[in-house]
Amino acid sequence: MVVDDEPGIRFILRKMLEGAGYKVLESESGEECLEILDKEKVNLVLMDVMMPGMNGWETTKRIRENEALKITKVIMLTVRADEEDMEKSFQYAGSNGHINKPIVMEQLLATVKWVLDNVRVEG
Amino acid sequence: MKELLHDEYSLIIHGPPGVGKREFCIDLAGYQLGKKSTVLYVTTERAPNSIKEVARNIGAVFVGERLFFVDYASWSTSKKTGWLDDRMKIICLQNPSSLRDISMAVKTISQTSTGRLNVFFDSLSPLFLYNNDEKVVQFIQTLIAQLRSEGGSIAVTLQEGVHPPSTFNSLMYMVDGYIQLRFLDDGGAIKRQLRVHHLHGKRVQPEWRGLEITEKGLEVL
Repeated sequence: MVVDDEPGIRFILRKMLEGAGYKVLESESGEECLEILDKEKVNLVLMDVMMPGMNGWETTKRIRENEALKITKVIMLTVRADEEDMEKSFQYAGSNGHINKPIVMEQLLATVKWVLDNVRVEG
Repeated sequence: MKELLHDEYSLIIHGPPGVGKREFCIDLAGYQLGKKSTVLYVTTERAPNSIKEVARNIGAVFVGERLFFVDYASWSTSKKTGWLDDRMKIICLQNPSSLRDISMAVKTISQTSTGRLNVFFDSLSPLFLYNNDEKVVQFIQTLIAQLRSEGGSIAVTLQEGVHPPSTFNSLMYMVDGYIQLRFLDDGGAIKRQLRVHHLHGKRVQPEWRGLEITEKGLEVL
């Protein structure tokens, strides 16, 4: 699932991922993302950090705190994140990966594949 | 570039998935094999046969009596542990959270092989999924010290974007050299680039240079 308040970014990311054979859902906010995750099984979320309402860090933290969503991996998307931002993504929110914008397609697809292949959830 | 890894040296090769870290690592390992050095290739994401295939694709000579594998990638599919294949010299590990097993495998090969041991760790990143970061950093610190004391060397690949900066900085602090790889979107054409960030004891120019991976090998432009 692609979570971003910018429809243009959601469109580009969806096209990149669908081109690689993934089934993609979209969400325009953290709140909507959590509602969808309640109903749909999602393996991976590409999460924008800066969104109105619940930001990407808070949304990811909610996902991590929900036992029913432990199979759902999260990659954060940020614009030129500094070390503090990246640390917050991993340590506070509990993300599984991090990609800086502007996004290079090869890097995005390879990181998505790496996280899906390697981050295995027990139980 | 192939002379980057010499005795008692430790190196991190860092970049996003798919950028060519494995090819770079295999290229360095192949060069060491060509110099009649002993190579231990610890593979955590691909089975040894798959590594050999990558080597063939880049024209690297990746065979010989002095090549050993620790297979940390096949644990979910393989039922056997220990010396899986004597001919190919593979030690297969079953427990992804046991760093001690890797240390023991390195020690075993170090004792059974002749000459200095050059370890290639491709990649370190999956270890962090089954162990806490501090434990993995300590493990690498101990491994570097052990190899250094025996005159050996180690090159480690690390995925960009899947580790907190604090963990990455801890690793950076303990190695002698740091090679960075990246993708560059050059007006629609995706290119690979490499820079030698630092190399302890050597003067380097930390500028980005093109990296091409072909069936004839790796070329830094």
